[in-house]
Amino acid sequence: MNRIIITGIGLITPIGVGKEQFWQNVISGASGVGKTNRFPSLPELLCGEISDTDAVEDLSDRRLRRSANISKYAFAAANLAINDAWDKPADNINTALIFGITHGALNYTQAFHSALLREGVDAASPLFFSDSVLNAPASNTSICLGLGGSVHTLVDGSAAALKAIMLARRLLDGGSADRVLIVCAEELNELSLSCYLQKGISPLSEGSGALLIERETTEGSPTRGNDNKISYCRISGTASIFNPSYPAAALTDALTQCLEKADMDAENIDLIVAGRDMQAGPPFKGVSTVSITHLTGDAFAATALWHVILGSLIIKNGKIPEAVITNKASMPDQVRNVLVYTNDGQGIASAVSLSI
Amino acid sequence: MRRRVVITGIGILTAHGTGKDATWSRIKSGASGISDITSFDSSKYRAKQGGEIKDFEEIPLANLKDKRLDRATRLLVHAAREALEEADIFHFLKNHPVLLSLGTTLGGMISGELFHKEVLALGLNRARLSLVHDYLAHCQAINVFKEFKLRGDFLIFSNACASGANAVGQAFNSIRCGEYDLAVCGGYDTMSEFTFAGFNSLMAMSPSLCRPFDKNRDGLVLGEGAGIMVLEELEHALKRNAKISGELAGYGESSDAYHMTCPEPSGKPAAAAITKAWNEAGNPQIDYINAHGTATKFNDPMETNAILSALGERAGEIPVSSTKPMIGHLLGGAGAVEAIISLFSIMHKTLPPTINYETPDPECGLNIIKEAESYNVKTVLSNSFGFGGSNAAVILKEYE
Repeated sequence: MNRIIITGIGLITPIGVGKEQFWQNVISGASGVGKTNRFPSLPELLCGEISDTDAVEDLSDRRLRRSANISKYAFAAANLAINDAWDKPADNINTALIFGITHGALNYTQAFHSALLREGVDAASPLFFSDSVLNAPASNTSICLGLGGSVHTLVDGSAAALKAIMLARRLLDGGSADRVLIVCAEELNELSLSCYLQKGISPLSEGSGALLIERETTEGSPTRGNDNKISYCRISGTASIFNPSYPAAALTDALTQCLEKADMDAENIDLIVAGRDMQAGPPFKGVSTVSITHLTGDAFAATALWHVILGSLIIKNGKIPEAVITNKASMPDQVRNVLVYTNDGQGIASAVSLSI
Repeated sequence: MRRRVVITGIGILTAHGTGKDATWSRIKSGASGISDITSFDSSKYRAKQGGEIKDFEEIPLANLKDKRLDRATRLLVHAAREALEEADIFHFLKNHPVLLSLGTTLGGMISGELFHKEVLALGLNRARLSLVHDYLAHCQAINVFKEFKLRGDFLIFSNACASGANAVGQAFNSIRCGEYDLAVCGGYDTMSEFTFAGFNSLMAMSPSLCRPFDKNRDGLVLGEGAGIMVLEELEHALKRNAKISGELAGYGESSDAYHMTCPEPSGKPAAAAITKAWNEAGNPQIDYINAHGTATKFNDPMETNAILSALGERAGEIPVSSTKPMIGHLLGGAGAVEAIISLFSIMHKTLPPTINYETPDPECGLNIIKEAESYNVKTVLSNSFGFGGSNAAVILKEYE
């Protein structure tokens, strides 16, 4: 197995666009969750919205001007990650893109179907249709960036982000890509907001995250060589389990497998990053947990990728921001290994370990 | 040495019927499964026909609650059961993890449509939440796990019309690299008005007959169905005396990076996927190509260019057919179902026909097979190309 490193990061979140703004707001504990009246059919509700739409437009591509927000968010984060990693444009033929998604372009899906039902067949717009398909954000991003390698959209809940990282690792290990962009994005939509509100799941949010990962050379630099930029951290282990018959066992198994692949024990883990109310279990009792969800809201796969990015920034910056600590146990002098996981409680659990 | 991957179970459900025998019998005879749409009113559309499954007799479900399931789950579970039973693998799955790798473009879209209709008619708070229980595209995989009491992991690929081939290909890769010894893979999609209206808005559907590679082609015809295969590492299959139907020998994928709805016309990116698959299979002689062959204006010449560019001088002689005019374009299910039909052509030593093909198109200079022919098919290339520029190629061969 190759050593895989994170070399680029991009974020469009309710608490900032780009890693600097995101990190500053994580440190200060600024919340991106607020009341919104954006959806006239819904009562005023709490959401994590992307407020700096000008910044997203600035980062976008002219070809996406009529695209759904989710495509704009996806491309903007991918663009940031690539610029973060490379000083100059690279050959994108061997760059793959793995996209993790939960709901997709629901606003265009709804608009297309509403026009069809209310105004008839001829009113249904081909633009709304082509941009409503689940792979539209990934395809739009690959088209704008000229990515000729594998492009996949993986659908799942939060686990889609970590599964995307697993598939990306496989592409790198198998030699079918030189570098892989992992992107997750979601957009707010009145129908899904209404459904989740009725289920008691709130606040939801929108935005995107992107990671660029590459193989590491023996010298510890990216394989593209000749580049002075250094990596954020290594992706040392990955695992994903679905066991609907024994949901409680799924998380334990995923964490155990992830650590085995990273050649680590639970004692090696300095910090856990996970959803707000998640408990990793007895082996990790003394390990502090951080989460971004109370500052951003829940954007499903995108939030899971923000958690991976948060873990990477904590390793890189050597600091655990107080505002994101959700379970304070022992605080390490240095954060060397971070475990990020998702657990839907129904038997789907995924984990990624990040190492210095 | 790379691990070999064999096929030990097949499940298929299309407009040609339920199960592999019924499907192959009608494919071989060149029968058309295309007829007037009955699941919604298609009179207002330019095209009015599709490949619906009309005689679907569902086997009672063992563990899933029946009421809230989308048609997508029903089709998928049915095909998965057929594949798992043929592989005779249920006892093994009790104690071993399995990868379920599936492709779909729509997931439970029919449920989503119903929910949205209720929202418009009754309001947000009065539409039934139970209708969206099985809407999201990963819910059907969850249902397969629950119905068959599986454990392991699932991957859901939604790469438009290449989804099914991508799911098969990545399952192949996961066994090839040693992550899993066994994977259940394939694809599925249902006939939904949303999609029908979508392709209608793109003017992509034929108002008459679907005629791939024909000079007078004027569009695709939609279908529905599911195709599932059980893949196993060769030694694993031999150890348990599994019946081996064929071997998956190569897989390649690429992206056009060109346009959301139009393929890259030179076919070079698609050729790259074919070349990868062919190289991975060890550059065997290709005896038959099951083409993506949608019969749209842009796909067929692009695919011709890709085949001629990737497979060299002999490419123009290789028998090629598209089975879409018989069963329709199954979108996320197409790649998997067509890989299975490719396997049938190896098992039965017969080339499937391209029905409705009459007038050769100089831009599509391939050896198009009009009627089923006996032929010593040992190795097949199956192509799938999707919206947004996803390209996938799968190579299947006779198990020796």
